[in-house]
Amino acid sequence: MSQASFVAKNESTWQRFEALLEDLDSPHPVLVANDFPELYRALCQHLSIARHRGYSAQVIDRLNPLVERGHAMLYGSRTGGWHPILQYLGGGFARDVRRDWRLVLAAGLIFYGPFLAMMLWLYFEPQWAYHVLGDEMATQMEAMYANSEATRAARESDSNFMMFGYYIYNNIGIALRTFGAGAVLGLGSIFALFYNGVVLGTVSIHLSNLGLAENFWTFVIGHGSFELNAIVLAGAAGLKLGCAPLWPGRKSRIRALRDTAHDSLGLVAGFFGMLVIAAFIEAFWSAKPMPSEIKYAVGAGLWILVFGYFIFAGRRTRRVGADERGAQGGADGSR
Amino acid sequence: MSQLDTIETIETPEGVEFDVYLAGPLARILAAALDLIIRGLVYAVLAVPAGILGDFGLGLMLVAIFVIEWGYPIFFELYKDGSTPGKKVLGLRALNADGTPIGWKGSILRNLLRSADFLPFGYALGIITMACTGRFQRLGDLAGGTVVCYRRAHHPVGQRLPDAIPVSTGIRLQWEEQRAIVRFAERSRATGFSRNAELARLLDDLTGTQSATVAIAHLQGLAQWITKGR
Repeated sequence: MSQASFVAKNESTWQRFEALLEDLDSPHPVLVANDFPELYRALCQHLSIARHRGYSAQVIDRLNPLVERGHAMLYGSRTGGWHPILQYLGGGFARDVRRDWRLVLAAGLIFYGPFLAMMLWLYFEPQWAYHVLGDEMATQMEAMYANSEATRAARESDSNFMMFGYYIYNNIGIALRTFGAGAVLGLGSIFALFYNGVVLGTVSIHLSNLGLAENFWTFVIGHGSFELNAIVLAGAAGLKLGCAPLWPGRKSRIRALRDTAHDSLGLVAGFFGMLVIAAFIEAFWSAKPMPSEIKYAVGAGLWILVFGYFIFAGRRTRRVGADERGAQGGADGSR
Repeated sequence: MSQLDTIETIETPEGVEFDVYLAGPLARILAAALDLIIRGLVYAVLAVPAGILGDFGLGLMLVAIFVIEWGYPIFFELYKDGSTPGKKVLGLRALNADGTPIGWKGSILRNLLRSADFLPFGYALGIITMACTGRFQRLGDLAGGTVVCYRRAHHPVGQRLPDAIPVSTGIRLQWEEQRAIVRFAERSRATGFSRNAELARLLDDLTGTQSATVAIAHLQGLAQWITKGR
């Protein structure tokens, strides 16, 4: 069969397929597309024939895009709405954190270790704080928490929102970068956790040494539970990425990286949410002038809440019918 | 058989192979630079009303910058068929490595891991990884399972054959040779005369002449005969 007669014979099929593609791409499809898979397979066959018989590029370049678009239409993924996300945040996130508890523990040690170490060291050798922080940051921190009218008066709502924007931009950015940089053997995450631990520990003990402890701790205890632990989780997720190619098990290293990365998206969503909450608290609550006891109480309550969530949430297993359970095995694949 | 080109063949479940023209670092760098400029312009435009609103405006601006910096590539990849505006100008497109359109997991991962690709500075690690993997994938692409390719075939060959009187030949041509002649004829209108002549002269034992014009016409006629008369 010559090329010309091949084209003539199948032209109507190709035009119908193209019309279907156009229609399905449009916002409101009108055509009935029941035979779409059949048409797609026919087109695949035509393309194979055209290639095999060496028909001119005209025909192949006509069929190629049709097959590509058909492939995309047939195999393109459709995502579910908000429900899975909310359900995940309700319990799945806690489960994922518990599943990777070793990494979370490691990240926690890398962060809180230096934090507490700096506090201990600078308690006895306070002058080193200026070396660690640099004069500029030290004075900046002192000014922020000083016993001045500026800090005692309530922040105006406008500047509250400005700080909210700043916390979103700054803190979530840092956390996302901590996660992403972990892909390089976890080094970026380790560095970020260590650095933030050192700086935050230094700042807190430095201000305490200057007698500004109450100003500082009443401010940070509110959002600290969300923010500090979100940083730890971001570091843990980054470590997870970094460790994946090192211990790939049976997969190729690249495959291990890819699968682990997809697995860790839940953690990313989780710490992202935690930081949004932290930004709200930090912007609209932490600076409110209030008796210290209330602030400490609320702060402590939030810490208990956060830890309680990660320890207890998502533990109730889904109820599965007895016959289903027997046939399918456990949810994690165990029998 | 591995070839020295950037074409990757993906086999679909239907057994069809289609070609994906992978995009190298330079085109992607240019696209990213364009995207940076576009984002900068957007920020400049947004800064005007934000400045008027004082502290509140500053807060809005910060949130906007955050959302745009992280969300710009993800939004365009998911909703505009894999192309940010910068990529669109360069004719590039991001898609899953198996040929399917990019999904949200792939898009989020490849963009979040820019932090790794950027290290130690200027996307150095990303460029190195692109050079080392077989499909020009940077770390973000490896984690997300994505590749970046050109939208269409690199060289458009869909031109009609030039009008010529079909000329038959007694020589039995292999189908690769037939393809070559037909491709030559298809491109001959866009190619300059001297190049056409240079190519046509290579086939003087087929065309039986040394004259360039005659040889070109002969080959075009041959192409007509091949596609119509077989």
